[in-house]
Amino acid sequence: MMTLRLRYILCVLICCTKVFVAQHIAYINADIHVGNGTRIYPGILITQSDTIASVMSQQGFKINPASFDSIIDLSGQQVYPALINPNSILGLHDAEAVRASRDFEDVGAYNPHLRTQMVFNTDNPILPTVRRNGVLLTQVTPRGGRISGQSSIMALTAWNWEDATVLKDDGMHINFPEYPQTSGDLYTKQLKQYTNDREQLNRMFDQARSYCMASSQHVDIRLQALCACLKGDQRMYIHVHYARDILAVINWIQMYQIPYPVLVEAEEAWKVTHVLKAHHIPVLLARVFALPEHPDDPIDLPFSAASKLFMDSVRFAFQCAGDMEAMQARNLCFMAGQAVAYGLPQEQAIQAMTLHAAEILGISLKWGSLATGKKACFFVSKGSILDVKTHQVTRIVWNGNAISIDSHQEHRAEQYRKKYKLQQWNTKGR
Amino acid sequence: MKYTFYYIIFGLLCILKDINAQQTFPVNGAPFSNQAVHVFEHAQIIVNPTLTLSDAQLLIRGSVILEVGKNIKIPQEAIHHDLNGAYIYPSFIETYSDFGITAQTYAPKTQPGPQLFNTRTANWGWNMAIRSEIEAQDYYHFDAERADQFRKSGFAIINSHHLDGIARGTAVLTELHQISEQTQIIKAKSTSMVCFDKGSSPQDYPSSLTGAMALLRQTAYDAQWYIQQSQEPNKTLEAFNANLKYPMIFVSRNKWESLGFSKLAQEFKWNPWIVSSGDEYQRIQEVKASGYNYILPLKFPEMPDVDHPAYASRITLSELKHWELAPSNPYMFQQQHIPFCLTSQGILKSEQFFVNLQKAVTRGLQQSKALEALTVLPAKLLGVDPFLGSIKSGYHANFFITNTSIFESGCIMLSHWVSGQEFKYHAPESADLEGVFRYPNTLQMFTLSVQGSGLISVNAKHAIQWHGHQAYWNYKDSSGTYIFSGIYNTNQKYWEGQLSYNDSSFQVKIPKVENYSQLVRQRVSIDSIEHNVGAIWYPFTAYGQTASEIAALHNPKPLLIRQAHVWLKDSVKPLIFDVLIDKGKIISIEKTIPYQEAKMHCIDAHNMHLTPGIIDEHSHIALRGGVNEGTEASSAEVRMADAINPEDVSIYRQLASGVTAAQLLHGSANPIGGQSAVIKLRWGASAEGMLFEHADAFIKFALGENVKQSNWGDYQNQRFPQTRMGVEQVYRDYFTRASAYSKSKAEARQKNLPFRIDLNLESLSEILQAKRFITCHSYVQSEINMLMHVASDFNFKVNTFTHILEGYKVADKMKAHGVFASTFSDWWAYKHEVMEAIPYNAELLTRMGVVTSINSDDAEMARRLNQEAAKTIKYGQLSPAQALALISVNPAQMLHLNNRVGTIKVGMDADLVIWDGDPLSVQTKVAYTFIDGKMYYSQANYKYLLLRNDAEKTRLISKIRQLKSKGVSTTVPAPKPHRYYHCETLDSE
Repeated sequence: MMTLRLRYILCVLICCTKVFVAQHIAYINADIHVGNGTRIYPGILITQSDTIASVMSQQGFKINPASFDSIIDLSGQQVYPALINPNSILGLHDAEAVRASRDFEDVGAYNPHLRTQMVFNTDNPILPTVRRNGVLLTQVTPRGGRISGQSSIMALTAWNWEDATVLKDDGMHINFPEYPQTSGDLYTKQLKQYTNDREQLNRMFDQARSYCMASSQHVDIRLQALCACLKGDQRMYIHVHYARDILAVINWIQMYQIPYPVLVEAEEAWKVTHVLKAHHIPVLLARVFALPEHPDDPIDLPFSAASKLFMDSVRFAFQCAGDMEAMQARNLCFMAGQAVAYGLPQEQAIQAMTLHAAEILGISLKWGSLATGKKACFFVSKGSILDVKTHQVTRIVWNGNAISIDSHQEHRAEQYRKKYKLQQWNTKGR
Repeated sequence: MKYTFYYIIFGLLCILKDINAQQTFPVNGAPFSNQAVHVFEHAQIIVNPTLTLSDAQLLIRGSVILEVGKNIKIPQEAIHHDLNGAYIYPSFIETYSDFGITAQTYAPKTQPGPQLFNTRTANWGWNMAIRSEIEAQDYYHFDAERADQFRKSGFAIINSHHLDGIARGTAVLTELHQISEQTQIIKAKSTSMVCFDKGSSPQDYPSSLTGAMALLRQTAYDAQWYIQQSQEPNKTLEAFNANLKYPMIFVSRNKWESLGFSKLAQEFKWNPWIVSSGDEYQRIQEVKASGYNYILPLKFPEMPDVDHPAYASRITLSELKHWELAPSNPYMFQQQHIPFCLTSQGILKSEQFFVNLQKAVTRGLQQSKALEALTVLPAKLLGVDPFLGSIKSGYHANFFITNTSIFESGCIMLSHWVSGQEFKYHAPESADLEGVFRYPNTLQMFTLSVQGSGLISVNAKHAIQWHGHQAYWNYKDSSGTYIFSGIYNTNQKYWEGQLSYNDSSFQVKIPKVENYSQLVRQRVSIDSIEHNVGAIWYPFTAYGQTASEIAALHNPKPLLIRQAHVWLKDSVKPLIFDVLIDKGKIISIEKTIPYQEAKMHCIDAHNMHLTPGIIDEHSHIALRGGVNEGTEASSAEVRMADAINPEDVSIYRQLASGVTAAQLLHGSANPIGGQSAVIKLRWGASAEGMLFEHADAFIKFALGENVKQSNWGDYQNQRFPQTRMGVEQVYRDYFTRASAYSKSKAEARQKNLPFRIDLNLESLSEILQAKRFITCHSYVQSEINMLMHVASDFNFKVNTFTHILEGYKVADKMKAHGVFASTFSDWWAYKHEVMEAIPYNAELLTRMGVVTSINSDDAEMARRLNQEAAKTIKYGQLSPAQALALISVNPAQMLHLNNRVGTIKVGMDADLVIWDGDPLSVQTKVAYTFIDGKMYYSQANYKYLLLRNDAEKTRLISKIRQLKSKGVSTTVPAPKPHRYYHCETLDSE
């Protein structure tokens, strides 16, 4: 009953958002975070239909009201490109612990043929709660096994998965074998297992390479699925954690000449930055809100990892994978903010959630920054989005249209404010 | 079969115990007599730890010592043994072992799912981990191989326990002669044993350390009651009571268990000996204060392999430091004058025993103390000192002979006499065989050394067979195989005999080119490397502090914090003040306070913010052995205070995040959980020292999916309750029982009737008397409301709902009940019952007048509680002051500690945080954290400790590499992953 009502509210929300028609709009007096590491203030952002027509400094620019359908004054407010949430199961479950709602991990170790695109549930109740904090794109990623399957990049605003698709089957996800960290007999046993796992992975890719080169033969859907990442039509996301394994991965991708490898998590990437830089390998960095793995580690290790990568010129983006990652996606900005507190320059933190993320994921042609020709997908906040206190989203623009910034959570709060006769907030005009 | 073999060997060669003693066991053939008289002459006799006679004589007849002294009269028939200056020691006594005991472990569970009940017969105790009825004597069988190892290590008397279960019954005391198995037993029941290790019991309870401790405690109360009553036959309790008359031994797994058990022992006026885990030196003051005697292991951690590819990066500073300092453990006990025995338990090779003993002595253990700990004291503990433990007329003829002092590294065990029976290990001259030898006409050298019962080659791969002065060996090198067969010429010091090489053979002499002393020099150089050891850190982990640093921490001068933005309780925004703290309290808050340089320290806090320390209402850090005893619907008897782990690095990490106090809660696996522990994060203190003094008593309750075991898999469908219907009735049932319990207890007291203390109902009746307060894990409004109704029906109030994610739906009812709310800022969607959670919860509750806090339930999030509080500004438009109250004064009020902490006010505890900016900003870091006016954290000190950690680790690693290069062997210990507990963590370690 409750769920039905929730769905209903969501439907209404989305319907409302679709009533507006995209026009020629000027957003003026804005503090614009471009996403490429620069900031324009005061700036003007002009959209034409679903596309950004121009972004520029307002200095010396004369606004002719007649030439716009609408002029929106954003004085005192900040504009950001749509934030991107890579490597996430957001949209693949409702209540994480409820088996019936879990759709991100299947049986078997080698599942390159699995795809998330059509599982992504646009009516998932978590999406609006994440969207209202500025995250408008997510990489819907399968989990488990050695090869988990393929992710797709999806919009958080859509009627159905087809509408939501930004980039279908954008990458293959591999959990690279981990060198054992045990001792004694267990070590020997696990070392054997590790060697087997490495061999098995190689065998899979040897077969795939041969399969993809052959012109006609029987169809093997697992091997077929691997062709795109071998040819470079798809990214290859390699989930790995420790420095030793990262080096093994680098060796491995050279062996198979993987065109677009991306490291995922890679907590110890900061130990091998020079190698990563030399090989131009980007990283979807492990969650910032995490504990150091070892009790002797510096207590702020995960907080400062991003600034270490930045200092050594390793390209990276933030992501939230880990405990409760779907709901935690709404805290993506604050993770970036934490990295800023530990040495990452502010605009670079924003860049890591926008343009760098888009480049790593392969969608920077249309997404990732506020630039002419890119999609008019951005949002407005009263203050810096990197700090909990100042993060106040007042407007979300999706394909040129303003969409609702509320989720069922705001509606619940409103209901009970009414019941208790408390003062109502106007969520939009705060 | 093996056994028969021994009878053939020893039955024939040796001797029966005492010709005049009567016995029921028949003899096959004519009995051997054992009345031979032996005299040992020209010996260095260690009569007892404080008396050594040189060039003395020892006279024995059969199994008894007749006389020891300088000029004793030697009977004509005596068999003479000229020891030529060798040493005679009284045999050692092993207090802690399972020698010869066939383990009676339970069969593992065959069915999945819980096992709630006992599967033993009806007249035994309810819990299968309590095995007081076990008598080790029933399962004793002589183990010849291990006996030999013991005798080679100097031990002749072994106290054997059956090592399984929390109460382990009684030990059997045996003597390691091989005359007959029956006569080996000296005492059929010698000591009793308890511990906190559940062992093989397949029963679910206890699943945690707190449960194990509670079970032992309850069993002790049950046993007290058992004596007075006559309704229940119970073999286990009967045995538990009977066993109390034997000396009690407690087996500890770490220093905290030793201290925890000491407290429990005080409760019941037990006087146990504690088998140390070998790390008590890290808390020696507390150990001393507890007042009990110890049995210390001579097994020390082996040298960790810092170069092992998998292990090296996992090794912790704490492991490295313990490896280095563990051999100093006995010395530390000696320094504190704590009586102790030594045990060889865990040492597999006899040579290692002496090496370790010598190592302990090089660390400062006095030789006489070591001897006392192996002879006189164990004899006293076991009540056998009238006839064992020294070389004295009338005592058992138990002694061993060594070529030199056992505290010297070249010491060789020549023979061991047990009850007058000789076990020969080496000829007295065997030391002569040791040394470096060179093959004739080559430069090839090899070193021979006597180790254990063998002659081995140290640096070449010789396979040696050796008997007396005759030896046979072969070895291979690239050129071929060499075989030598020959004898040793003691006078000329060479091996002579035949050496065959491939097909030809020669007559050879292989001379000794270097003596053993050179080998000793090698040992000495190792000792000198080993001798320099690091300081003990408190806590004994990375970021620990030395004793002098701790002393300085605890004696701070008054501290003036100048010109900080001070967050006072009723002020809407922070104001600039000077704050003076002294003797742990805030003593003055003024616009300006004069700085008196000589009398006080000063922190210039311009542009910094001063707030009360953060209080985390819901935490599971600093605990060990599990947070859930979820095996029964109510575990009100378990105490989290029993399981505090002051060495959890989470404490330091959270100090660095401004947390100064926390409530450590039981998990949420059952409707009635365990008793909470409220702590201050005093990094470096003992478990006892962490506790918040005079804090009220709290208990964890839980509602919802977890207590119904919804997400525990398909087999967890047996333990009641499985529905919310059941949950309500669990409460009504237990409170009804608790109420009846209090009544009958009062009545029993009045009429002096036998009464069984039930720790579970005791704890619940405290709730009814408003002496204990409930923190209840809760999500869904229906059950929140239900518990408030149950409470009203039983005339008490629920103190706090924790999590309380649907609190906003019943905020009015909560306000009316007067309950507090402790919630998450924005968590949701992780399970079915949290789908209605909203990030406006804390705000709505606050506006409705319910005192609300933000808690962590998570070791990571607790490091950002300030940011979590700030989310109520983002989502709920609360004021910064209101937001800060959620993590300071409000949780203080929930824990009934708002008269001590949570606000900045004159007279309050100086539990304060100085931030380098606005405390509610993501960009801000903690600059200083104070508890009781003591600076437990500062950014500068953190940087210093970080460097020191590295320096200490580097020192230890290079020391290990140095020792490794000298041939000391290394090992790769099992990794111990760091455990972080949440409400839902069900397992223990």
